[in-house]
Amino acid sequence: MKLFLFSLKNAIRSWWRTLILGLFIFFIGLMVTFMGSFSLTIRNQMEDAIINGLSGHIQIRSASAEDDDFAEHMKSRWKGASFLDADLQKRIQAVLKTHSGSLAAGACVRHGALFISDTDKAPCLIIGLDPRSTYYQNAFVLTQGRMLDAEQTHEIVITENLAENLKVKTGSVLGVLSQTSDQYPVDLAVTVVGIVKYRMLSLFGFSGVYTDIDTARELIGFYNNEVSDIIIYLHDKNMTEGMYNTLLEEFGDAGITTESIDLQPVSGQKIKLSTYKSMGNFFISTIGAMIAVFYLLIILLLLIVSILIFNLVYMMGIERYKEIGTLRALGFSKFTAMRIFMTEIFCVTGFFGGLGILLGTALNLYFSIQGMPSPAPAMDFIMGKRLVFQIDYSQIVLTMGLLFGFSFIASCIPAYKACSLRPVETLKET
Amino acid sequence: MVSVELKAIKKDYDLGKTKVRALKGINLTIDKGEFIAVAGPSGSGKSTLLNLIGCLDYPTAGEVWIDGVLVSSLGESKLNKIRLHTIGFIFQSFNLIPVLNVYENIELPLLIRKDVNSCERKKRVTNLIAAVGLAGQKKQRPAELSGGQRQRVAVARALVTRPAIVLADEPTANLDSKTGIEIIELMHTINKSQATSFIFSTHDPKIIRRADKIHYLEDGHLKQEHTL
Repeated sequence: MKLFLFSLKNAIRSWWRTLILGLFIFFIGLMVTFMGSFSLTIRNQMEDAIINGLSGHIQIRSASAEDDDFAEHMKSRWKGASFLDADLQKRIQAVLKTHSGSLAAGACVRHGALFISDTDKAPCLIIGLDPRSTYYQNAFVLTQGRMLDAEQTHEIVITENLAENLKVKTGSVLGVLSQTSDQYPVDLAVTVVGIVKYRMLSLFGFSGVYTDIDTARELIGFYNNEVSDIIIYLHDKNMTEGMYNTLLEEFGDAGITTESIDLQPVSGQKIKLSTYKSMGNFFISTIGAMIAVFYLLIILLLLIVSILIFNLVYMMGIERYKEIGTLRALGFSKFTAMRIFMTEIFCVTGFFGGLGILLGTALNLYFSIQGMPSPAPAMDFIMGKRLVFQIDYSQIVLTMGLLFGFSFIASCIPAYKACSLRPVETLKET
Repeated sequence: MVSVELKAIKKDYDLGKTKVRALKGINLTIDKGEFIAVAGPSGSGKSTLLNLIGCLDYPTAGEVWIDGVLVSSLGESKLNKIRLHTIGFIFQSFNLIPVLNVYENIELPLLIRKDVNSCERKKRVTNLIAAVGLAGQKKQRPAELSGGQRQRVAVARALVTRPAIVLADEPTANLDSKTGIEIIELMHTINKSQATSFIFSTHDPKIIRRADKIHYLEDGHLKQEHTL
């Protein structure tokens, strides 16, 4: 304890040096804590956008469905019309029913179609689902009109981008040109009832068009209640992997062949199970890459601070030759002398890093209540108008560990060098 | 009883292309409780000799025995222990830790002594502060003390581990002559009361006269021994 106080007093004595070093460490503590929550929130929002707007937590499709990543749909190529027939759906639903307490399942029809307005046309992915499902509504912000009505058909909700491209607004009627699964052309008129802005997905220019499942079936020619996929929503995102594995096993037991366990097909159809992570892999990875750039900047800052710590401890060693020599003459081992130096650095790291983390956490807490306003329109696609932060308190420990780790690495070598000199050498400096 | 024994000690310093022999075959025996001055002009090897006795440096040749232990062949960690338990140091420029007050400076060597508990530590430090006459200054930092007071703190710090030998390298060089004599008197009093051997280097004749025995060093050789 007294040696700790000794180190603390040394840190206070060289207050200007402590302050410079401390400010850097403070800034890193603040940045890492803030960025930790910011990136966690963005990542979670992206996952939620994929879950709500596209795939659910788990998606069950025909094994012949070729698209493994929703990013494929951005190319407006809908590869074939794979489907789950009514009988297979029943058998799948029977398995899912045993988990009714922990999941909700909904049918979905997806198909590529050409949307034509009076002035323009645009290829798009049409997503037909149960309009009563609240999940898809959470995927975007309604900017005009209303969401789909469960009692109506031939209504669509489109994104702002698409509305701009086609120069339409709510109430406009669009022509839809499509092709059935057996390659007959379909020409249908639909009414735009709502214009929405995707959360996160607009970043990628993704333009899904939402409609009721019957209209979507009409467009693709699913006349016998076929669906493209069954979407499973779970109460907790963290249950996804566990449920995925359970379902794989249970479908196998029920005689439904899944791709992963390659049993002989019973109904002539195989199914494919995917989690939102694989279906939204491109989106999640892109956001991950953006976050990685932020972290790269922080790592660069950490490296600069490490060099600063290295130099400061090196200078401390030179300035305190006399002190080191005295301590060694008094019987202190080089490791005890080194400990005094490093404790000094740790005190600075603990105090200023702690302050940075504290302020960062306070900011995160504030933004978790008030939401952080988007600083520029260009950031809206990620943050929305206000980003409500999510906080993971384990990051505080991780950040502190990171700061101490860097301080240790940066101060270890110069402290060892200074304390390894023979006492007589250091005393000569007096 | 022999406290320190030097046998045929030689010490060379490598200064690039040239080699300087600081000590040229020193034989010296110091008994327990002696109060000894090592005198000689600047560059005669006084500090080198004290550094070797203090286990701060290794001789180029010869043997250094402290309390019956051949220390010149010991490794670094054992030498740390010898310095911590057997030897006390007093430096010319006091070498006090500026951020610590009088009490803390004196206490410092005991903080790494596992065999001395906090009660004993407090007792020793308090007694020594009183013995060196600094009871009223125990909370003051070195910068707030006079040269003489600082050296008193250094004397107390050297004694707090109850060493067998105290080495003082020119302890009065940075003090005026009156204060210098006071410090030597203080060391002498403690020497008599605690039977601790004191070996100090100096070239001040007024200080030399206070020693019980004087060893003259000249040009790396121990020229003569003089008992007063």
